[in-house]
Amino acid sequence: MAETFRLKIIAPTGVFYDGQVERIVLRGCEGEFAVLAEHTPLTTILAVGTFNMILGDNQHKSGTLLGGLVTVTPRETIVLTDAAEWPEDIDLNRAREAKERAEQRLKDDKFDAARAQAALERAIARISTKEK
Amino acid sequence: MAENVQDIKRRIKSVNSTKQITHAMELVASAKLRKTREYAEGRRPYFEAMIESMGIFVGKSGSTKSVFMNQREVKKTAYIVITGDKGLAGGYNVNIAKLVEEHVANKEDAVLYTVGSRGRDYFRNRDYNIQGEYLGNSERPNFFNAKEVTRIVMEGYKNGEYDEVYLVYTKFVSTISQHPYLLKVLPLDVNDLKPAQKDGEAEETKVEHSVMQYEPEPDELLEYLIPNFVTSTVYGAMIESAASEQGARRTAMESATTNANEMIDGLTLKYNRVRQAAITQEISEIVSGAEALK
Repeated sequence: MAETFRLKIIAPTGVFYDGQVERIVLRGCEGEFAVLAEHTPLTTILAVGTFNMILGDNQHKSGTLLGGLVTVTPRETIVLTDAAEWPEDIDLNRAREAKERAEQRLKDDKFDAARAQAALERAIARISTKEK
Repeated sequence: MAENVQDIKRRIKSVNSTKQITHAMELVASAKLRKTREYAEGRRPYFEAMIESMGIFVGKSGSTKSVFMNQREVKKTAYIVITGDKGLAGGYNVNIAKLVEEHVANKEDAVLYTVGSRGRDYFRNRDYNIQGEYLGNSERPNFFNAKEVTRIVMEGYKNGEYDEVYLVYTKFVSTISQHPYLLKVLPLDVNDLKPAQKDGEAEETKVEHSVMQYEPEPDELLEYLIPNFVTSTVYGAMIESAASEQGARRTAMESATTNANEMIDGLTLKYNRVRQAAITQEISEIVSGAEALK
């Protein structure tokens, strides 16, 4: 069994995850990266996307992180996110509808493009988490 | 005792049905209050972690390049006013409105963003400049609503539409006590964000952060973090206000129910007296009628 480290995922609505993990793969704003135990101290911004973690006993878990900030220190890794979801919390049909709606709105000038883009990213992240 | 027995009976009935309504509202409000308090508890870890990182970055970047941290001459002021969507909550909505009115020196220099329809209606009737209104989420605030409000307000601030931003909300002290509160959110005060010195731990943290890599640079990270920090503050205020609203409503409905009970007691006493008087009168009429026949 590989070495583990403490991971905290904190969302505004509460602590989403707090426990020992072996590895977590996150989507940063400059691409995907993995954090293992003894990672060099790092602070970076996360993009909207999927995270994937391996717990100590070779168990895999994944979910979505809707943007945020991650701070890696030797003691612990803290993810501050706008919202985090497990696959079982995601409603696939709703996400698909949201995706279609966002795509429609991107074509239409009436709507705020930045908002629609953000909604589209969220929907895509949710769908890809669910279908994995 | 001019009142008719029937009239009093009708009044008792009407007061009683009002009492049932207020009592039900009281129960609903206390159930909602419990839930809202849970949300408020859940927010705390996020907020604390956020303040901690803010402090580190402010210390790191050293400068105050960000427009959100520079004080400038105040010409116009924006207010984010958080009230409820519904009334019947005692002084909850009125207290907030009063606080804003007291603080606004000149109507022309104030820009309002209202959360909750009560505040919007109040200020619209008084010809205030309302630039944004956010309805329908006063009971269950959500982080993305807070984000939306914050984004618009921060944009306005950046474009120089106003030079300071206040947040007006109701602080939840306890179930029976809520205070309206005015908080300055922009420009940010750098001194408030300096990390609090914790003994023992401080040295270790310092070493950790001296080797910390930043991606992108701390200044840019700060640019990302400030909106999130403000959002988190606004979200917290929305949640506290939601809890306060339920608390205020519960207290108001509780006293309404008590008052209704008192009224019913008084009316029942009156009813019995009127009834008794009528009986006594009838008996004396019969007796005197019988006397006359002898």
